[in-house]
Amino acid sequence: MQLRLNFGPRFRWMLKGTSLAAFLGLALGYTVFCSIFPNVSVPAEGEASVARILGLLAAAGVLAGLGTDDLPTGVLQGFSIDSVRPRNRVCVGHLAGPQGFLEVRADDIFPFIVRLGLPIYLSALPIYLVTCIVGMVLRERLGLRSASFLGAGSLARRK
Amino acid sequence: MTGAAARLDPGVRSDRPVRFLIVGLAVLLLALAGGSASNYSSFVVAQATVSIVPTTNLALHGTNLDGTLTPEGSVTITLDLLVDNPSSRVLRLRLLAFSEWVEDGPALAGLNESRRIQDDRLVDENGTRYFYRAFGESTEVAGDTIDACSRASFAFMYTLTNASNSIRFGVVRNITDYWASTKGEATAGTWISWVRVQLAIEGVPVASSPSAAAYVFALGTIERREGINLAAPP
Repeated sequence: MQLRLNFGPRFRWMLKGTSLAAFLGLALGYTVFCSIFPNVSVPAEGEASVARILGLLAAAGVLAGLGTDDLPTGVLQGFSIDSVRPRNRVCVGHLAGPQGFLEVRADDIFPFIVRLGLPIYLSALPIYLVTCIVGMVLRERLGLRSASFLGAGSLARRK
Repeated sequence: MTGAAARLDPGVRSDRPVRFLIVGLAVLLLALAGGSASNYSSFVVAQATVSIVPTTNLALHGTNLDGTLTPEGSVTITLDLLVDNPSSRVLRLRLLAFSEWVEDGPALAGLNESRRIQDDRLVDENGTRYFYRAFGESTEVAGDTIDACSRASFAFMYTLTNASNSIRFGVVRNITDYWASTKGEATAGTWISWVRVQLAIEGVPVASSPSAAAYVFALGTIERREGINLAAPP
């Protein structure tokens, strides 16, 4: 007897959406880290490269769009990144301060906070939404469909 | 195009390659994030654990029989700097600042009022003590590295002669003469040293823009200070 897990379509939809949102969150977290600590990140640079950061966000957005079935899911994925922002800030941005090896002077506080990924956080959502839609348009043009969709099709053909 | 018609369309393809691409990029991002975290951790360990132990040895050369300095004599201080690096980063010695003060006996005894005003002061339970800065050097050191998880020792020599700095040498001679006459030994007065060392963490790209945040520059530098800096503002 073969044991086979058969999740419902709603669960699969949620799992896929969550996975893509996590993927977008990973890209966002990495780019934020690179922007704050460019000389410590891998690959290390003297200063953060805006082109590299935007390019990575855009690539992640397009890929997520290529893997997204419908527009509401794409938009939901973009907005669900909001949930990883506070964690990113705590884990990455504020890491250096409490450890006490960075001294932030009073006149440095504002630029320090501004540099803590705020511009990237602000720009990530529109970038993700736009690039996700671009990816979905490409998906439609290329005629890409998920395996479950095609599986259902072959089933329909067999019937 | 949706539903059964779309499924039967020969132009419809599986999105599996896209999934592989997403998984590939996710793995790459995870690897880069992991590498960054590891890199960052090694910086934190280096910043937190590197320590220095400076020791100084004082020697007077060209002395009279009673131990006092002759005008042709010299005061030499050898600074042995031990750098302990338990971190996984290679460090490079970049800057060394060294100051040495000698307790100004004549000023304390009221024999030299002008110097007493200019001297650096140390206030302790016995009252105010006056110190003359005999050495105050700050040099950029290039080429000396400390390997990961190792210790390295460096020796630096500072010499004061009449030719190198006649004013300082004259004062130090006056002070050592005082201690020789009152305590029987020219070096009997208290000598206080202060060392500031800047170590650069190897492999850190340097920001070229002057507008780069200060902490970006600070991340790649470890600074350690040992001793009492009498010249520091209270």
